[in-house]
Amino acid sequence: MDEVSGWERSLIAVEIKKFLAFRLEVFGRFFGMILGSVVAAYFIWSAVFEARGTDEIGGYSLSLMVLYSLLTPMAIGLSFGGSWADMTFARDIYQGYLSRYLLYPVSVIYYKWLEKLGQNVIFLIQCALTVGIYLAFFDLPQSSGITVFSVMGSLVALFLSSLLGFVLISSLEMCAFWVDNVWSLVAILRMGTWIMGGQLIPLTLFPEDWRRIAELLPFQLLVSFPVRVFLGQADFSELLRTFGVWVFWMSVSSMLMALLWKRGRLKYTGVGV
Amino acid sequence: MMRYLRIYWAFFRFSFSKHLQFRVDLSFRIIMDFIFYATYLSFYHIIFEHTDTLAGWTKDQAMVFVCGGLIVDAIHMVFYSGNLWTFPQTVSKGDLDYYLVRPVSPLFFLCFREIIVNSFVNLIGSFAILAYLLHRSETIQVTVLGVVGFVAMICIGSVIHWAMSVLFILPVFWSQSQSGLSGVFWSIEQFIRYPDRVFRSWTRVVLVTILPFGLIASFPATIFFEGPRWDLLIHFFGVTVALLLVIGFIWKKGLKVYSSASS
Repeated sequence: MDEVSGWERSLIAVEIKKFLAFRLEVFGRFFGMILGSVVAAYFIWSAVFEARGTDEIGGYSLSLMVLYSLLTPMAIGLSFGGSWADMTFARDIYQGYLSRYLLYPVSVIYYKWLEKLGQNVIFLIQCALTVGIYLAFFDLPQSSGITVFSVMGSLVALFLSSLLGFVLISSLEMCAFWVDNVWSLVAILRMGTWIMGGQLIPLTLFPEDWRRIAELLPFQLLVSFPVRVFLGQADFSELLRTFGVWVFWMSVSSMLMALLWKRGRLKYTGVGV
Repeated sequence: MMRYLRIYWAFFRFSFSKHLQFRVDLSFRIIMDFIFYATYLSFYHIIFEHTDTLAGWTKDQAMVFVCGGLIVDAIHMVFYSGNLWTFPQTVSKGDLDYYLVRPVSPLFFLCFREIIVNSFVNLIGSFAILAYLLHRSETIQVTVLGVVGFVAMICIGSVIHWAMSVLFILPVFWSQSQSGLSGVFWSIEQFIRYPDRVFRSWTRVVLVTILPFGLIASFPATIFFEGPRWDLLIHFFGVTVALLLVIGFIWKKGLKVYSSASS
């Protein structure tokens, strides 16, 4: 048993080292993402509040909106994985490297999940540092309901969103067994989170019809929901309802992934493109 | 100049015949780009559910401004995105030798060798959206000269976008990473899609000078809505020229430290 858990720890440690091989790039990308998101949100929402002449829109003050914009890129980073654009699964299929994983005495999908967890460890540390720096310089917005329970709840929500994100992206990358280029498919999923996931604007500010549709789609599970739990905005009924939506999308995407994996392995030739 | 145009035409024909073989990828890219357009148009639609104006612009003006940004993105996707994606790896793996021995500018070869023909549909689509918004608008005065001038300035804005992309990639000569500082570029490139006038103080100064994302689509839109302004035009062209000079300088410095696969 110790040998089994030993390889998993080793794999995560190797992934962390690989991820940190280019530290300038990793930290530059992270802080560029945060800075870009927060600065843009601060100014655009300042302009909106100024034009309206009010201090609050849909329950969000300017400071809460800025905090929301700080948290959403972190949520999406943890859901998608720090290097989602690298599409390592698809690349392994295209270049024939998947063969070595098929020879391992462990599930390929479990192996890939652990690789993602390794990257997420670093990302989580970056997120914790960023939130810590924010709290050191700014007070929590009065309208936020952050408590110890909401923080713990958000970690659970982030784990669930990370799992769902992994299954969704892996399913799309597995289309590489049949399609020459899956980058645009993964990019479509990523773009879905910008609006329908609530990354750019909180879903509570959406027109009513749009909000109802967004709440049934998987995108908000990857971004908006963990952030709302963190901010203490999700009541018990919303938690239950959203968990139900998560179970639905997790079931559908897991079945799809299993089907694609089963059929794809039969098509895989391992010679590379 | 004519020689480069002939070479570019050859690139164009080759890319056309290559990319049209991949019809599934063509379809996915078209869908992807239209979802991207819908995302930003929806963003401003929702913003304007909560306000009548944004930094002095009406909803119609903001949407035309967004279209300007979408045209810049479409030009980027068609003419240089694929090339810039592989640029850092070409340098870090030492494959730049192949480009350095050619009797053409290696930077030209690296940046413009491949045209993503699949995204041409989206370039046409972005112009179609612009035409639709201008036709529907009741508040924007549309003249042929104004529209032509706006589009021309957007194309020059694309040059700034290309220059900034390359600027963030060139550190790969020193960092040897897989992507240079492309990740940072994509994080702050989003400022193209916000009007420069929402930013204030030193932030706006930075975004229209050192990191001129704020003027790529904003300045053309401002001139289109308010009429020609010499101060904006001089600033716009001045920043473009300055950026091209900076790139030339850093590129030459990078080549001096480049260690190829054969050395």
